[in-house]
Formats: sequence, C-alpha cells, structure tokens
Amino acid sequence: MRIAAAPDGVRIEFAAEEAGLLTVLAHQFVDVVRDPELDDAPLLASLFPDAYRGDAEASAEFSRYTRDELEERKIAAAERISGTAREGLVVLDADEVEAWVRALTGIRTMVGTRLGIREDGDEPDAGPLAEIYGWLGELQWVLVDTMEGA
Amino acid sequence: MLIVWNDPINLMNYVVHVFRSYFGYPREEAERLMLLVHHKGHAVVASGPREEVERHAQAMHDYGLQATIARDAP
Repeated sequence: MRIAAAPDGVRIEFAAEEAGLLTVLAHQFVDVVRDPELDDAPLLASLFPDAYRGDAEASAEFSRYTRDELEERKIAAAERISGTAREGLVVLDADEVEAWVRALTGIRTMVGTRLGIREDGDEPDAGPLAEIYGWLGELQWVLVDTMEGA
Repeated sequence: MLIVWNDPINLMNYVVHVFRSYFGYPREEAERLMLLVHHKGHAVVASGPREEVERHAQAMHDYGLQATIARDAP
C-alpha cells in the first residue's frame, strides 16, 4: 500500500490482497448493520450508542428517529469502500476520502470489538486479526493526515 | 450539552478532524478538545437547545464517536 496526496484527494496503490480484504470487511460491516443478529451487543452499542446515559426512555426515543438514517449512512459509506477498493491505483476525491475515513471507523470498531478491545490500553493477542486491525488503523491515520494537509 | 467520550478505537487525528470539519473549530481548539477527551475521558464539545444538540449527537454517531447528551456537565 502506497498513499500520496492528489490535487483533490488521494491516490492509493493497493496490493490485490489489501483491496480484497477491505472489500470483504466492508461487506461484513454492511451485513452486521443490516442484520444485528449477526454480531454481538458491544459492537452495536459502539456503533449506535445511547444518546442519554442513564435514561433508557429518552435514548430509545432518540434511537427511534435517528437509527434508520444512521444505518443508511454507515452502509452507504462502507459501500463506497467496497465499490472503489481494487488492486492497483485507486484515486479518491475529497468526498470519497471523507466517506472512506468514516467507514474505516466503523470497520475498525467491528474488528476491534472482535479482538476484545474495550478500553484504552487493551492490547489484542498477536495474530492475523490483530495485524489487520493495525493495518486498518495505519490506513485511516494516513488518509486523515492527507485530508488535513499534515 | 453534547459530551464526547473517550474510546479505544478512534484515532486522535480522526477526532480532531471531526471536530474541525463538523463544528468548524480552529485546529488548536479541536486539538484541545480531543486531548481533553483522551486524558480526562470526556469533553463538552457543544451546547445549545435540545434539538440542535440532538442533531450534533446524531452527526457524532455517524462519525463513529461516542457522544451523549446531558443537561449538566458530567
């Protein structure tokens, strides 16, 4: 993976397995958001937090009128990744980078939750999933820095 | 008021980016708020009428930040 700033966005060079991995994870994320039965409660609690701590009724009401739109936007962002990630050169405009970065937070939340990361300092056991989590963090970090012109 | 809580997933530069691009905070203020969240566990990042704060909360959840609404600072 190589990332460079482009005039209005970024250029990323993906290896085949990197693009494939991103696509699979984006699809998994969409599946989990569409069908919450597929995953565990901690993930959904992170993706759709209670808006009013200690007030279940107000939180439920908030959820009633925000959840559908939030689900749609999270799905749409993840689909921007699965729709554009491919082997070789990928050029993203500023709008697409924004969607990618937002979707990467959701995907990292999914992977991080599976790794048992619940609070600062939680170090996942070494293994393929932990490596993927680290790689996703690097990708998101560099994309944000590129966007911020750092 | 709108409170953003620390979480173990979100990257520091991403949180700064969200505060800058959504609220329009200057970089210094966005970084100050991010560091408050990181070190103190939470920060009040906006206040206003309930409807407005709920709109902010929805936007923060869209960005994947842990945001809650409260009448008083925690």
